[in-house]
Amino acid sequence: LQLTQTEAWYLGESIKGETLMSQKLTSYREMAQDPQLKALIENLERSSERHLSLLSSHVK
Amino acid sequence: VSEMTGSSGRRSMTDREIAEDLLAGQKYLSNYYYAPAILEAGDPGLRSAFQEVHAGATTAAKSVFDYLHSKGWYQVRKADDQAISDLRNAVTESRQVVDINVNRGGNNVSMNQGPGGWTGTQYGEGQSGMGPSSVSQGARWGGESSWMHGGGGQFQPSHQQGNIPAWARGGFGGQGGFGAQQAPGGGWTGTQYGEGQSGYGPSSLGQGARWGGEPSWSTGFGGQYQSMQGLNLPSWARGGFAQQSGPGNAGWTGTQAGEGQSGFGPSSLGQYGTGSWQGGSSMGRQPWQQTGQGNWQSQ
Repeated sequence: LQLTQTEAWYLGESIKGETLMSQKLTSYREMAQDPQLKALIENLERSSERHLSLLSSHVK
Repeated sequence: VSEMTGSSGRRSMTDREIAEDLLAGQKYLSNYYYAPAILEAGDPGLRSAFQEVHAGATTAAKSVFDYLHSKGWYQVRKADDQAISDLRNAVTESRQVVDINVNRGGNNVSMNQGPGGWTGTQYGEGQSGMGPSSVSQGARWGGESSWMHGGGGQFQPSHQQGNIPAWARGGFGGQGGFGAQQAPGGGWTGTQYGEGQSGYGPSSLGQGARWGGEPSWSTGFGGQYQSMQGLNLPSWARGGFAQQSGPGNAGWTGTQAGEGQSGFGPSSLGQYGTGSWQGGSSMGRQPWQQTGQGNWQSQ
């Protein structure tokens, strides 16, 4: 199914935003001092990767 | 806050700063991209994908909030007695209105269709025609929305305006209506300069709202977020979230400088000790925050 203009825009912005979040997470994981926070960030990184994969799958 | 320097010699962030920025980012993604995307997506598979990532972002935000709260870095205030009293009154009035209409045996609170039936959109907003959410596409969401008074039907009880509680008579976004409430204690009002109508999210912001400039969470905290060495941001990322143009001509331009507090929503940063990301905040301004106008800049 062909994306509408609106869908394409939101999809693009969402992918960009999630990519930015992923980059932050990678950087923050290295900075974090608290092991609890590091673990949390690692979980978020995995979640972000799943989101990116899911969103990207809709771009043919 | 003392400067922290990592092993690489670059400026680092405290755990609190990191967690707060992550919370802001997750809220932003959730509120301003995923939530409206769900409403605008016509394709079922794509809509489902947006729902899934939206759920993921809200779950992530909750986990970060839990971390902050456990450290005492995110204080929450209980509603005061007056707020609870007002709330109970609103519930009572609501029940009275609904009971009256139900007792008349009909669904008297309805969206009256115009001659052409429910169109969902007017004035060219609503690319998808999915309903009121499309107001975000250029409707003046402050005062009256087109779907409230145009051919798309007026929202009013069929029989009696008199049964409508005072707070509801202004309609969404109108005087006295939703979006026009003031936060207790003069705090978060949801809107500045009449735009935003926050609490509704980006749908409202994109449109009548002049959502231009930079999100407050980027100005107050990471606004002048210059990438640390190694971040290697792509060009589109250097402007921060929400500075891209929207799908329509009106575009989505980000936020006006300083207003909005968007991205955090009413629940967040306003409630930290000093209630501000700036100035009195214990975080202070970091070197990487002090230049530029909210742009991500590579050093």
